[in-house]
Amino acid sequence: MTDRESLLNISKEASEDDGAIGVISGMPTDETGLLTNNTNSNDNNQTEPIFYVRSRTTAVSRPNYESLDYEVCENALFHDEERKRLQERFSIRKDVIRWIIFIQIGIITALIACTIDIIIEELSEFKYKFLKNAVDNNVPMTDDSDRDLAIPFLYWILLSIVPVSVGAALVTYIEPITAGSGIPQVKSYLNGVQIPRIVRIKTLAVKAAGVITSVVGGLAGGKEGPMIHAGAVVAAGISQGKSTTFVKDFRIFKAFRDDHEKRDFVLGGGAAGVTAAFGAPIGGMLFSLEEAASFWNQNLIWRTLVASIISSFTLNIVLSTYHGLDGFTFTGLFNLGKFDQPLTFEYFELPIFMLLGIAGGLLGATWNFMNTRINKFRKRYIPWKIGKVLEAVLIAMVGVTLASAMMFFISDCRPLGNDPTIHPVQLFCKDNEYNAVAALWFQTPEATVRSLFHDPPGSHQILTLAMFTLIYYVLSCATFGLNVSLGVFIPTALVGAAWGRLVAMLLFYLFPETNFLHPGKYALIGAAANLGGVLRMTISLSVILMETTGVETSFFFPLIIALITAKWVGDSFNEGIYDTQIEVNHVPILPWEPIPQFKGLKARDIMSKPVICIKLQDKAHYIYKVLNGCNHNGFPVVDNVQNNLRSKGRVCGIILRSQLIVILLKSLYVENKRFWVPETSIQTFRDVYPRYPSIESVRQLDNKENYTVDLSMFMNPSPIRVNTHDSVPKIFQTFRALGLRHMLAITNENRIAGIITRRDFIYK
Amino acid sequence: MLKKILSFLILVGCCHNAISLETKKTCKHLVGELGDSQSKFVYCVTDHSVPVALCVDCEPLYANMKNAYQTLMSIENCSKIYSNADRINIVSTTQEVLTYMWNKANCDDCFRGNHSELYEELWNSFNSCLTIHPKSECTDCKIEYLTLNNFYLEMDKANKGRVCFDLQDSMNRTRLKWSDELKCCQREVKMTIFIITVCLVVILPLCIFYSTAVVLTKRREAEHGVINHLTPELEDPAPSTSALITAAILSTPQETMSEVQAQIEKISDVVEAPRTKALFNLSDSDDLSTDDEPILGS
Repeated sequence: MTDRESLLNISKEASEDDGAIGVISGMPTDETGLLTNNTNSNDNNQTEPIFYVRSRTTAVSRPNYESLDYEVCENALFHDEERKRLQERFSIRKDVIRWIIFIQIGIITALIACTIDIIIEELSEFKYKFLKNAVDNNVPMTDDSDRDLAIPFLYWILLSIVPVSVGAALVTYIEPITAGSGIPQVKSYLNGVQIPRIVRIKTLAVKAAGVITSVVGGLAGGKEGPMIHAGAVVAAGISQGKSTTFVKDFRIFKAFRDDHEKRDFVLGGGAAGVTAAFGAPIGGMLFSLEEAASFWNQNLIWRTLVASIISSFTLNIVLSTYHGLDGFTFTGLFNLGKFDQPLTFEYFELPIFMLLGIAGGLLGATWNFMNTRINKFRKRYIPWKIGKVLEAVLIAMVGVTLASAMMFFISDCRPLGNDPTIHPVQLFCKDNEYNAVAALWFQTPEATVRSLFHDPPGSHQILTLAMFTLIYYVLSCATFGLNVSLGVFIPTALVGAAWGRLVAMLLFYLFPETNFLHPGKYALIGAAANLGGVLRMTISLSVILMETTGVETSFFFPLIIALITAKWVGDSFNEGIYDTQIEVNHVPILPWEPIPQFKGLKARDIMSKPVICIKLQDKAHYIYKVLNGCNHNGFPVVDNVQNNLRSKGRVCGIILRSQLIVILLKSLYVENKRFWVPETSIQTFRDVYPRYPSIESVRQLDNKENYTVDLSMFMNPSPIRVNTHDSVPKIFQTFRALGLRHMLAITNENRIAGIITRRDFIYK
Repeated sequence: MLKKILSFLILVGCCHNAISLETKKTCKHLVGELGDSQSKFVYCVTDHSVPVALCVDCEPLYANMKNAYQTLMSIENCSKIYSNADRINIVSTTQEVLTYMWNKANCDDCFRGNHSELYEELWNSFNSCLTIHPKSECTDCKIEYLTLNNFYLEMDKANKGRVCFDLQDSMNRTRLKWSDELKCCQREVKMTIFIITVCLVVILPLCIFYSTAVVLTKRREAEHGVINHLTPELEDPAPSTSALITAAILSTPQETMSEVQAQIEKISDVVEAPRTKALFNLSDSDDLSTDDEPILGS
C-alpha cells in the first residue's frame, strides 16, 4: 500500500461520523470481526472480553468531536425572513440588539471575574494570616522546646488539601470538561469544533468553584484561563436568551440561535474574559483575533473591542469600590503594577535580552515536553476518577512540603519595613527581621509575581530565588494537567520573573559596578521570555504584557525582542502548550496551513465516498431510515436521479441532520402541506437549537402512510462545491476561511462524487 | 482725553506700587523668620538623625516653623508674592519638603494619646534591667523585653503600622540589641519531627499512590496483553468507527434478556451486511447498483 492510499483509507475511516459516506467503506474487516466477537460475548455475562477492548482503547473514551455549523443556511425560509425584515420599518433592530448583547457580555463577565477574585483574595488572606500566626507561635525556642514547626506544616497541608480535594472532586465527578485552563477548549470551539458541554451554565459554575478552590488551595496555577472560559460561557448563554439547563426560554434574542451568531458572541465573551483577567482590553481583543482570525470582519472587531472595554470598566468600578480606592485606579485582576520609575534600557542590553529570550524558549520547550510526558503518564496509569482527585491532593501536598522545607532550611533574613511584605514571618530570623523565603510563599502566586517585579534590589538571596525558580518550575509542570481548573499563565510568568530577577542578581554579583541592572526590569523580560517559550502566543501576549505593566512605549522593543526570540527558539522544538493540549486530546482543529502531506493532492484523493444522498422529493421512510442508520450530519440533496441511484444524482443543495429531524418531528410533509405552511418559518428550526433532538425522539413512522418530503424549501441551495480535481491546499483555504462543515466534491456534470469534511483534512 | 486717562493710570500705578512697597517690607521680615525657623528645624532633625528622635526633640521647632509659614501665608499680599511666584517656587517647596519629612515619620502620632509615655516607661524599665543584671540579661530581663515588644506590637496593630518613627526606631534598636548584641533571641533549629512528618504524611502516600497506579495498570495491561497485541491500532490517534460503535454498544446499560437478544440481532444485521459488502467492495469496485445505500439495502 502506498502512502497515499493509506492516507486515503484512514481519512475515510475517520470522517464518517461527520460527513455522509457509507458505513462500510470506513470499517476495516478485522475490526468488524472483533466487533462481532464482542456482540456475541454480550450474550454470556458481559465482563472480561469487553473490559479487554476498552482497557487500552483511548479512542473509545474520548469524545467523538463534531463540527459546528458556521455556514448560514440560506434556504427559502431564511430568505422569507430577510425579506420580511426589509419591509419592516425598524429593520436595524437586529443590529441594535447585537450591540446590547455585546455590552451585557462585557458587564456580566466582569462581574463574575470580580466575584471570583474577591472570594479568592479573602480566603487567601485568611489562610495566610492563620498560617503566619501558626508559624510565629510554633517556632521552637531554647527555653520552650515543646513547640515544633511540624504543627504549622500540618495546618498548611490541611488548608491546602481540603480546598483542592473539593475542587478536584467537583471537576472530576461533575464536569470533566472544566479541567485545565479552558483556553484550548475555547480555541477549538472558535476553530469550529463542537466541544461537548463547553458553554453550559453548569460548566461555568463548576469552573468558578474549581478555580476558587484550587487557587486558595495553593496549587501552582492562576485564574486567567478559567476567566476566559467563563467569558465564553457567559457570551454563549446571554446571546441565546434561554437556558436549556433550567428549561427557561425568555423569548428574546431568537434571531441569534445558530452556531454562526453564537460563535461571534463567544468571540466577544472570550475577549471580555481576557480583558477581565488582565485588565487589557486591547490585548483581549487581539487574543480573540489571534485565536480565531479566519472568521473576522471589521464590525466584529469593533463590537469585540467595545465588549472588552465595557468589561474592563465594570471590573474597574467594582474592584476600585471594593478596595476603597478613589477613581478607577484598579485595573484588571492580574495587575502587575506600574513601575515606579520609567524603565529604560541601554543598547548593549539588547543582546542580553535576546539571550534571555533564548533561555525562555529553551525552558519553555522543556516545560512543554515534560508536561506532555507527565500527562501521558497520567492518562495511562491513572485512569480512575478517585485516582485523579487523589493525585491533585498529593501534588498540593508536595507543593506545601517543598515550600515549607525551603522556608525552614534557608534562612534568608531581611530587615523589616524596607519592602512591602504582606505577611512577614520571623521564623529563625532575629527580632526585627523577616524570612524572605516565607514572604515569597505566603501569598497567592499573583502577588508573588508582583513582588518579584517591584521589590527593591536585594530583597532576596541568590540561593532563595534559585531554589524558588527550580521548585516552581517543576511544580507548575506537574500541576498543569491535573484534574482541576487552573490556568498556566501566572505560574509561567512567575517562573520567568523569578529567573529573570535571578539573572539580574547574578550579573550584579559578578559585576557590582554596573548600574543598569534593575532587577524588576529583568524580571519583566524574563516573564515575557518564559511566557513566549511556553504559550507561544505572539500579538496578544505582547500587548497583554504591555497593558498589564503599563511600561513606556520605548520599552516595547526589548519586550518584543525577548518574546520573539523565545518563540523562535521554542518553535524549533515543539508547539505551544495550548496547541500541544489540543493535539494530545485529538481535537480535530484546523491548522493555519494544510499539512505538507496534502501538497499536490487533488480533492478526489481525500474526499469520502460514496455519499448518502437524499432526493429533492424523497420518501419520509427513506429519510427516517437514513437518519437511523448513520450519524452523518449533512446530506447532499440531489435531483435527476436515475434507477434510484441517489449517489449519482445531480447536486442541488445540502440539508443538515437537525433540519431533517425537525421535518420528521413536525411532520412537514407534502401531503399535509396546507396545515403547516402558514406557520412554518426559520424560527421553527431555531427553536430546537442548541440541543437538537436525536432521531430516537421521532416516533416510528407508520408503514402504511407513504409521505413525501419536499426539501426545496428547507435545504441550503448554495452549498460550497469543489471539483474532484481541485487541489487540496486550495480547497483547504476555502474550507478554513469560510468555516465550513461540509464541502461537496462534484464531477464536471455537477454530479456528486464525494464529500469533504473537517476530518478529511486532519488525520494523515 | 487720552492724556487724562494716561495720567490717571500712572497715578494708580504709583499708588499701587507704594502700597506694595509697604507690604513688601513686612513680608520680607516674615520670610526671614520662616527661613530662620526652617533652618533651626533642619539642624535639629539632622542632629537627631541617629538614633532617630526627631518627633519628640524637634516638636517645638516644627511648631515654630509651621506658625511662621501660616503667618506668612495668612497675609494675602505676602502669600501672593511668595506662592506661585516663579517656576521653582522656593518658599512652598522648602516648606513642603520639611512637612513631608515630618509626616513620613508619623510624628503627629507621638503626640496623640499617651502611648509614647507608656512606651517610654517600659523602655526605661527594660534598660534599667539591663544595667542591673549585666551578666544574665537574657534570663532576667526577658519579661521586660517581652512586655515592651508586645506593647509595641499592640500599638503597631492599633495604628495600622503608622507608629511614630521615634518609637519605631527605638524599638528596632532594642530588638537588634536584644538579638544581635546580647544574643538573647535563641531560636532553635529543630527539624526532626518535621522531617518525620514529611516522610509519613507526604512521601509515603506519594510512593504508595504512584506505585499502586503503576502496578495496577501494568497488571491490567498484562492480563489483556493478547488483545492488546492483536489490536495495536486502537492506540492510534484516529478513533476508528468500529471502536466508536463498540464503545456505544458497550456503554449501554445492562438490559433484560429479551432486549439484549433483540439488540444483538439488530447489531449483527448491521455488522454482517457491511462486512460482506466490504469484502465485495475490495474485489469489485462500484459497478453494483446496490452498494450505494448499504444499510438500507439489507
